[in-house]
Amino acid sequence: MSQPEPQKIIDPSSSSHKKTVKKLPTPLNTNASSCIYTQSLAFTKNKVSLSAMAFLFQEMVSTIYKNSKTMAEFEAKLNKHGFGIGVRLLELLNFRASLPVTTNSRSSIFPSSSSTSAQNPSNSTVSASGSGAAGGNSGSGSTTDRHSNGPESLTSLINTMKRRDLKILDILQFVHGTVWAYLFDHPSDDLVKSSERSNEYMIVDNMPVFTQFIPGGVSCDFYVCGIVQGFLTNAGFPCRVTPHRMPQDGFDRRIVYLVQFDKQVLEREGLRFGSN
Amino acid sequence: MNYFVIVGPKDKFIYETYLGNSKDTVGGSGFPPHIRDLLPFILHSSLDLVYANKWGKDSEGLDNSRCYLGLLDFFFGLPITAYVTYSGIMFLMLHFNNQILRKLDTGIIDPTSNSKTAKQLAAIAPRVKNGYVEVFYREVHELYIKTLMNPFYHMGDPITSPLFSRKVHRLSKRYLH
Amino acid sequence: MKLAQALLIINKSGGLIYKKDLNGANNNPGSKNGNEYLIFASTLHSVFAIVSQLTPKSIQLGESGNSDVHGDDIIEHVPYIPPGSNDELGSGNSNNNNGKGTLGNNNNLGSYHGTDFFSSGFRSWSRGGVRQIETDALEIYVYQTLTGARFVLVNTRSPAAQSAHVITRIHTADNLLRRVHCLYGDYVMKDPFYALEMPIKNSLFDAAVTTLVAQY
Repeated sequence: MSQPEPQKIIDPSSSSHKKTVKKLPTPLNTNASSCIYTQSLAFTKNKVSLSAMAFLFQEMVSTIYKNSKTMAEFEAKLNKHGFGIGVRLLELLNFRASLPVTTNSRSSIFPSSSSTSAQNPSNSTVSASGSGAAGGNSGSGSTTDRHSNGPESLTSLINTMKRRDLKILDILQFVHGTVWAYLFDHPSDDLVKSSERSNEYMIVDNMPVFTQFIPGGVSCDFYVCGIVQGFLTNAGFPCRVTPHRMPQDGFDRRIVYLVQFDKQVLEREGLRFGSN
Repeated sequence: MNYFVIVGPKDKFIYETYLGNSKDTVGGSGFPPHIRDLLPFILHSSLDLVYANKWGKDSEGLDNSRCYLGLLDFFFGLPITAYVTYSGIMFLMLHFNNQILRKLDTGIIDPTSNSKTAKQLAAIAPRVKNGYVEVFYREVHELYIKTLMNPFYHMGDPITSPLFSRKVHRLSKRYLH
Repeated sequence: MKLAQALLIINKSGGLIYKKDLNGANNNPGSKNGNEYLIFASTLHSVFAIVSQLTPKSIQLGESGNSDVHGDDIIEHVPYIPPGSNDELGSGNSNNNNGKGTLGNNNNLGSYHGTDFFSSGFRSWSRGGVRQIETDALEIYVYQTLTGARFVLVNTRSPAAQSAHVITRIHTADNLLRRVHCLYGDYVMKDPFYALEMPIKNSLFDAAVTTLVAQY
């Protein structure tokens, strides 16, 4: 019996196959730069085809409708889809509103928000030191590294950040003006306070853009309601928004978005700003 | 060296980091571990003040609708500054300097002991340069908005992107040191 | 005085999915004429099928190639005809609006910009099928789309209509039906609750078609 060949013990470190197995790039060790931080937040007026938008919206509504068992569930899901947009718009539009008006990074029909907020005299010292800091730093570093965030950073253009809206009326004005102008290219048609209940306000849209091709009831308008609700809720004004169709003055598709604030919002408003 | 956090909607920290060079600290190792564990509690305790300032009046008795809330609190002489974004996300920072770090590290000063320590610390506490800190907060705010624009990122999720971290550190080198 | 007209849409399997009476006299849609329209539509559909088989191969070959092989009737180029100028159809109310054909004061054409749905001529999509049927009492114009849906316009024949050349009448009808096709693309296709190839029950589409036809 011949001696069996000594078994070659294959040492994993010497295996020739090791080099050919590539590690899958996990999010932490990929070198591909994520472009989300390198894109500017400035406003670029991009035109989108209304048909494309309508088809996308129609497909989204179709899918949600198929996956819902009741109308209420459908409306809630549609609301939730809009909610995420409202959350992001809150930060983005307020940030853009802080940029000086002369830069072209603001929308061309951005209503000026500085008229609504009172300019505090003590604010000016902070702004002076802020711009002074930015100015001082830009002299020290190299000219290519003017912004630490990269050349697309907009913060260095800001003198003072826009004030946070703390009153119901202020934030509703912002929704009526700026948010609507961003979404639909024109401010909303009316902003009304209900005379019957103190926590109800109404935003009127004569010609809803998203649902103009959809006949029937107002269920699909819950999407825009979600946007408004997301915006207001995250700004500290929890509320419920519902759409109601009220044709008037020849506008058959006129929609009224009813905003009902929670009781706590009114209580806080009363405590802080005095009851009126 | 500073300790910086971003506080999410349910008072959860969605981002925390230690800003500054390792040269700052004793032995180049950053905060000593017993201090490191204490830091989140310190900032949590000042959240009450942040909330009060968010919706209340500021030091001059006027409505505080500004984003930058300024120097809010002291923890045994260590200043805490805060900033609020439009959706209620709070940026908090606890400012240290070398002297305090050395004393903490060697155990000369124990922050949890008594109020005599507070006076000692106040003497060597770092001065907060409001202008620079505010610009730093604004830049981080812009980064936060960019993070939020990611459709897969939801409010209250922890921020894990290493690029975000790198940018925050670069900003702190620029504005805070 | 309008001629009696009806507008039908037939889907690609031959079923009637939309019918509209444009004559003011009997304009109740779900009337006893409903069944007759269904029979009419399916008859038309089979006629189309037969006719496309009957079309000579030589003409069919010319459809995919260049148009100057067989003269200009093969790949039909339909010129643009604005809504107001339609004496050819003989409806008699062409002087209500000027030749421009503005669509009311809103000028709301849905997703179409400008004053009209389209502003230039177009290629006919008809592939050797029926384009016009003339009988003693009626004229039937057919507009085929790429997706197989057919838009049918039924016109009462009038002596005034004979004055225009038949090809002009076909072109005018094609323009009208193409506009209805544009409205179809807007209001029917973008309705998430509409199932394809099913009967159309859409109040917005109805209203838009009424407004459009009122110009003719």
